[in-house]
Amino acid sequence: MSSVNFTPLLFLGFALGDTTTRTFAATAAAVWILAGVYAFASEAPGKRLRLAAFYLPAAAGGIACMLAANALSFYAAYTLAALSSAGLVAWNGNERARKAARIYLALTVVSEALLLAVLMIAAGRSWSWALPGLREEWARAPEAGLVMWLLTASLMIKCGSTIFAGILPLQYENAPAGAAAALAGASAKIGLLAMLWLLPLGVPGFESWGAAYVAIGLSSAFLGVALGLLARSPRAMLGYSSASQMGLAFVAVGAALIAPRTAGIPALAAVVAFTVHHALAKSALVLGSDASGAGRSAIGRALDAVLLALPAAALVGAPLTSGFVAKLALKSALASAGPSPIVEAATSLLPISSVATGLLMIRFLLAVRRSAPAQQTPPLLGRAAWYALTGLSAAAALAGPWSFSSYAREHLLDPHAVWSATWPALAAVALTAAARVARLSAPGMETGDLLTYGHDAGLRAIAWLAGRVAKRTRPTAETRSHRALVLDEERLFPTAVAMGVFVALAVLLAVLLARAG
Amino acid sequence: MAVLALAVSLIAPLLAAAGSLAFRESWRRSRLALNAAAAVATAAAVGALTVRAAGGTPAGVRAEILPGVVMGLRADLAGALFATMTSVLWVVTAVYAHGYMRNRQSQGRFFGFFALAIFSALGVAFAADMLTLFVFFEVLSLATYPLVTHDGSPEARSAGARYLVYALGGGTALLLGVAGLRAIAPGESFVAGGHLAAAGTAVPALRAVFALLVAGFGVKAALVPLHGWLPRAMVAPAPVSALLHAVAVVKSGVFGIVRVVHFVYGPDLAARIGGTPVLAAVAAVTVLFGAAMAITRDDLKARLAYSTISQLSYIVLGLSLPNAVALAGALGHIVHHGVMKIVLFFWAGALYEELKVKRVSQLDGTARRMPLTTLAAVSAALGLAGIPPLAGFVTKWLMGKGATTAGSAWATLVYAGAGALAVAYAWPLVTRPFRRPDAERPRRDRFEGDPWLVVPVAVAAVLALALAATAGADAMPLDIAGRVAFDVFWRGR
Repeated sequence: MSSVNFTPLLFLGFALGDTTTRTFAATAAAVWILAGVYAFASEAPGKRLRLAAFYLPAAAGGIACMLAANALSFYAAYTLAALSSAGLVAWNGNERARKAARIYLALTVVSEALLLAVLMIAAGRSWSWALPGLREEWARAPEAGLVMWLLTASLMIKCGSTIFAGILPLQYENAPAGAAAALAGASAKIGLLAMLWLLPLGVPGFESWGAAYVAIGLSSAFLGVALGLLARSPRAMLGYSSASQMGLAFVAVGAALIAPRTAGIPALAAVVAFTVHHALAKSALVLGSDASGAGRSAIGRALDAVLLALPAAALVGAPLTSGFVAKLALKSALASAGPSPIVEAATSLLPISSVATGLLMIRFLLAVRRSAPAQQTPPLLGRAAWYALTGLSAAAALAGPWSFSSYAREHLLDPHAVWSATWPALAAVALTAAARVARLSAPGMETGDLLTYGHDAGLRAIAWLAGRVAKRTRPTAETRSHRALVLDEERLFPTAVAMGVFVALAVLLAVLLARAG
Repeated sequence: MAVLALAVSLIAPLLAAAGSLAFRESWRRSRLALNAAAAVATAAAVGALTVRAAGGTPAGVRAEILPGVVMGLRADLAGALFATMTSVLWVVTAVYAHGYMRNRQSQGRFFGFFALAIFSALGVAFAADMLTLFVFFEVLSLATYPLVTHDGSPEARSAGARYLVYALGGGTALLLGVAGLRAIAPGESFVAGGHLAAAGTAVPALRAVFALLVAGFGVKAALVPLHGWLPRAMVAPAPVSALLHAVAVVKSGVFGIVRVVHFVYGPDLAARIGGTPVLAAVAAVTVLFGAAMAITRDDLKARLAYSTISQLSYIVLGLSLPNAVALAGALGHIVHHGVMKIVLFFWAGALYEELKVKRVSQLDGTARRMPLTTLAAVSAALGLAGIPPLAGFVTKWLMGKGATTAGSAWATLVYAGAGALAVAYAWPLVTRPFRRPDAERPRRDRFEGDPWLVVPVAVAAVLALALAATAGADAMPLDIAGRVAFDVFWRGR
């Protein structure tokens, strides 16, 4: 071996992969294409080139992520998608959008740096950097605990878990509607794929991490809904709802970590089912919140309301929807994780989280109806894209059970399962009605919640620091401190002479030493 | 033949220096022709030397300067890597400098000392032992002084004074180190993997010499707390900031550290005496400090200077880890960072020449006026921030990966964290030129700018992209870096 090749020529590699990645890729492609049709159709022709400059790289990266064959390609595609999305978030160019983009970008860059550390450590501890098998490699490494911390933090930011919930509504609210739908449908799903590729699913030794994931997931599920109920705009509500739903994926993955031998496969099925279900339903809802009702007759508006309610019902997990299938798959994963207190808590809290989601969805539908219809009717092409996504979302209910979850297939028409999916929705309706009767109203809250406040505090801190630095390095002060030593060449000259003598002596010493040696 | 190439690579810059100083001030075209011809000749000679070194028979000469004192030149692969980068970028910079210096005073002096600096950088690259390296290193220090103070303003003279104090201080430490080294190992000359490994000298002496040598080179490599001269030296004309303060001078310091660690002590001994662990810690601090300071700077060149401080220590951190992949990434980063940084300094210079823009906060709207230059700068800034698959990412990835293999996952975290900070300081350079300016910028009738400035920017940017695209190909800098790392870690033992 006379030369060592450390990187192959153009190290990027992509592959169609297995059923999981293909499902992810197909879903992402459908969302990016249909949402793109809406985005470009509803944008003024003069702005389409600028939209393309951000939307197309984001779409390319988002889809390429799903097809990446090695760690480098995954990271490259992930970065392309995440950074171009910043341009979509800042689209309006006003202070509000710029602030949202700043928060999004700062968190995304941190999340990416954490992911990069994970990938570099994993690659440093294995002989290949192909994605399949990478997790088994790092899970054996002495750095496994460190990797788990880094990876968990990165995934929590990307998926808007717990305190990071605000990162999702900030994206949905500020991007143009079509782009927001794509971000809602496809962007956070990259985090789910990263979970499936990188978390040590099926590797024993991470049981307590599994409990932590279930806990993170449950708290995100409820916190997301709580924040969503306080949100003002329909799209912010959808963003918080996404944060809540991503929490359910954390629960599924947690089950797999708790019981690596038994729950691995059902959890994988649950995450895939969740991805397909949530990607389609959420992007249909975002488009619908923009398109429904605008410039339509009374019958048309009623029809639009029904079309908007369909994916909302799916999110609640109403029977015969894609959400029902996804929740069945999640239950199956929890059931196969075996008895443990945290799993049992999760199982009993799942219906409650459906009730919570139901409350949020009803609030969303009412908010859409209340909000003034858009000034301009979306063009027919855009409307068609919305219908198509809604149709796909409805169809996903049928496709799911037959492709990845036998448990869902068996329980699709089981009366007990149907009832346990129905009562949370009914409870949500009843609770909303009761709240109306009692005239309860939620106080409005700025989108981005903690993150926005953190951003403001951070900016103040930076300004303060910058002020301190500026004060310290003001030219006059600096001149004064250096004048005594070496400001001008006249004063420098004696110093230089002294140094020269010293250098000459040192040379002499060196020569003598060399001779002596 | 080989010795002839070695001679040409050093004599051509020397002739260019002499000619530039001798020509009349008004002979601009002759000076350009001389410098460009010398740069091309040097690059060709260095290319020939690289081929010889890759074939396993590096060219070399040795001579007894004083009784018992032998100095020598040897174009091994590591030196060839550094020399190739310097000479190829000199060609581009010679053209750029011709355009940039058009209306400036004392051009003869400028080009003369510039060529002298290139000469001494090549000497540093090809020095076969520490004493020879020291001599060329000191010539480099002194040749750079008139370039820093070129415009003669009080600010420039103050920066030059500071530069000289740092350089002389570093040179003194270095000289003591060289003297100590020759006491330990008379007749030393560089060997891949180190030649001190077998020597049975007392550890305190080994430590003292290591500390003196590394501190001496560390001034040029801008290790914290020896970095203070670099941001101030940005008062120099743009070509100096570009080729010397992002490439040749600062990387001579880094290259010197490579020679000390890998060609004198050897990675094992350097680690055993505690040298490289301390060096790695200092480098890690510098990486994060430089990147954090870069974020706070509004002045474009100051921001780039702090970025250089941070990125130089990426290299120093990578080479202090006992791992071949990390060393290959570090040596590769010498070249990759150099090419990307030169694009950014060219851009900063062109912005000032065309629009008098010198602050990050003044960048709004510059993309519309200078689209080509901006695109070049954006590609380089993204690469600098470590966005895959650009040149800066490839080497950062290797260093981060190698750090974990070496058992130092903390260094991997430093690389990842520095990457996030790098995005933070590079992001405004990427986005602000495209923002709509608050007030309409006075439009001149010109589009882009002086072709003498625009073409070198574009060429250097294409070079940086090509480095990324062919990172894994044979005979590219990263491949050569990999061979050097292989020699150091396996063949040398």
